Amino acid sequence: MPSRRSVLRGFVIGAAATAIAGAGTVLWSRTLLGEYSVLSPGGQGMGGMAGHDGGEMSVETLVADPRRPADVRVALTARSAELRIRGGATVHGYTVNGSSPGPLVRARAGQLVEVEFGNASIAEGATLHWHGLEVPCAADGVAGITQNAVRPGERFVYRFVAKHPGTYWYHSHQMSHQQVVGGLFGAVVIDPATSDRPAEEVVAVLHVYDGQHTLNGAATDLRVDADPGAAVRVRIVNTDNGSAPVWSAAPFRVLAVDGRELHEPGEVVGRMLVVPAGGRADLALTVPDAGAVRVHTGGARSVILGDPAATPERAEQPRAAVDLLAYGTPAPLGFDPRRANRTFDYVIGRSLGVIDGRPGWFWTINGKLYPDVPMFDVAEGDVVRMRIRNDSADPHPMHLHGHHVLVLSRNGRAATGSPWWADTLGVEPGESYEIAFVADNPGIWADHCHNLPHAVDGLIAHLAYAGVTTPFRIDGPNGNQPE
Amino acid sequence: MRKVYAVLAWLVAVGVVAQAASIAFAHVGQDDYIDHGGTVDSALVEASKAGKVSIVGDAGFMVHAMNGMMVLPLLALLLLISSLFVRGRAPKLWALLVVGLVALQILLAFTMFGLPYLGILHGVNAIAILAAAVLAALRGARRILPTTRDTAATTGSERQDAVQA
Repeated sequence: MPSRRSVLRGFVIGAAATAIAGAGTVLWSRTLLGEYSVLSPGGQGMGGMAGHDGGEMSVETLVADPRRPADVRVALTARSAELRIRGGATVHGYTVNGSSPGPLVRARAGQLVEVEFGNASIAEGATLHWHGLEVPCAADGVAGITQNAVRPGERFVYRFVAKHPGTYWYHSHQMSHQQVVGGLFGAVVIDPATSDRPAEEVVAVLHVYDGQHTLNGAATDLRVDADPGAAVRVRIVNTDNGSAPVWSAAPFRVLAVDGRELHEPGEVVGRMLVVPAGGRADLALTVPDAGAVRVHTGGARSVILGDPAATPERAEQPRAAVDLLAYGTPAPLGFDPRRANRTFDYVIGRSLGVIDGRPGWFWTINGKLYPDVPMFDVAEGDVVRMRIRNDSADPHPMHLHGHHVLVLSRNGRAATGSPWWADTLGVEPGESYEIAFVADNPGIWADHCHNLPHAVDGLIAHLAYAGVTTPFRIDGPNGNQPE
Repeated sequence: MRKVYAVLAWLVAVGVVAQAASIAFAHVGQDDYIDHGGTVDSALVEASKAGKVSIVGDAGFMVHAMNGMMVLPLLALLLLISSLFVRGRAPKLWALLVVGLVALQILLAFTMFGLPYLGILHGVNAIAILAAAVLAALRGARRILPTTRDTAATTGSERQDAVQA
């Protein structure tokens, strides 16, 4: 016969357990997002929401001139497929026009590019995002913000004017953490409007397919037959979720970063260049009089330029990296960052919590978990300054859609080199960057970490122009899952 | 409740052993991968974290992360909660120590990648958690000797609990 005391204790324990379980269930259910608009995730007041002071404009209306005929037309069809990696093993992934990477999309600056995208067989839907290109918002390709995911059998047309010459890429922005890793991407090169394209150049798309390091889809080094003395432009596209160190025993110049030429780039000797996830870099190397030169692209593969019979030795990886903050020489910026009328903080941390009913360790922005993250509200013509600080223990390649940002300083040290414009900025643990940009491309733009699983785990915010709205929703019947 | 407390303390101890085993497995697997020509760089590590790589040993990293960041903190908190229902100060203090050390361990895990020498402390602290958990199980869960005042209130079922624990 239990004593009165033990009965009482049992009752107290039972009541406490019930109360904790009840409170936990309520708190948990409050994190469920359901179907929502990025302008008001979770239906919570975000403070200073865009688009409620008069005229509203849907992102669908932000398009390239519909009457202008296209200069370049491309048809791209994505499939869920078995990928035969040249020099490696077959993996399950995605193809664009039958291969991964998909075809190179090439145009001249000023041309109107029209891409008819079809999804042949990807059950969860797919899109194409034009990474680094300042496309009109309707062509940004983010499922649930600028369009619905393209279901199997459907098509979607992307139209944009290619503005700046440079190296870019396209990739799916529906379930991007799966589809990009699985191969749904390709490179984009925009040539200058008038001058001839470089005589010797090579595009090197880096990607790891199920543990296999590849260049342009082959698990081998990339050989380029080039004449002695030739200057070769190597366009490196990092499509992975990790940083790619690039180095060579031979001196090289960094001609461009993220599709923007650097001003008077100097010769780099004994240093590596770190290309953040999603970032690009154009390098210039000179082919030696005899043999060939090796450019290491990440740990496993190299681009080898010169005599196809020669195999230059591997070079030891330099410990120091090129600091783009002090690389090249200054040049006019085209705007005055000191005249900024908007300033934002983007502080990255990590915390235990629950997002959309899923408990775990998540990334925080300004100390808050998704969806309680900031909305960066701007108006067209604003000059915006943003301080990005990484208080976490992992690097974060921060990617702002639809814009290039100018790096002003890192850890309080001002930029002294060439203007450094980036669309994907690698922010190392403990680092703090100040950046600036002109809000000149109306729309609703994702501003997220391009280590794509990090975006799934809450490292995503948005830049919203006043007066712009979106009819598209995350989740819901269209199954839009941009991250 | 004394029994629950002891079981939770032993589970924390087993969890720490699983941490040591999984991280050793992970690194041996990675070394084997490198020895056979594989390259481990940032691209591969991130692909592996995303579960997109099948290298023997990768499961070790996954288990270490999940167990260390989710399971062990949960067990430690449950241990602390259960200690509130066990008579005496010792169980509460041992549980508090376990929770504190686990919290320190996670803090180290999140900061040591910028400061590699902290990794040494991460390893040492793991042994401290193991010791604290075992002592909690052995000493914290030990029935305190009934004093004259307590004897009347202590029931037979509690004695049984203590013996079984």
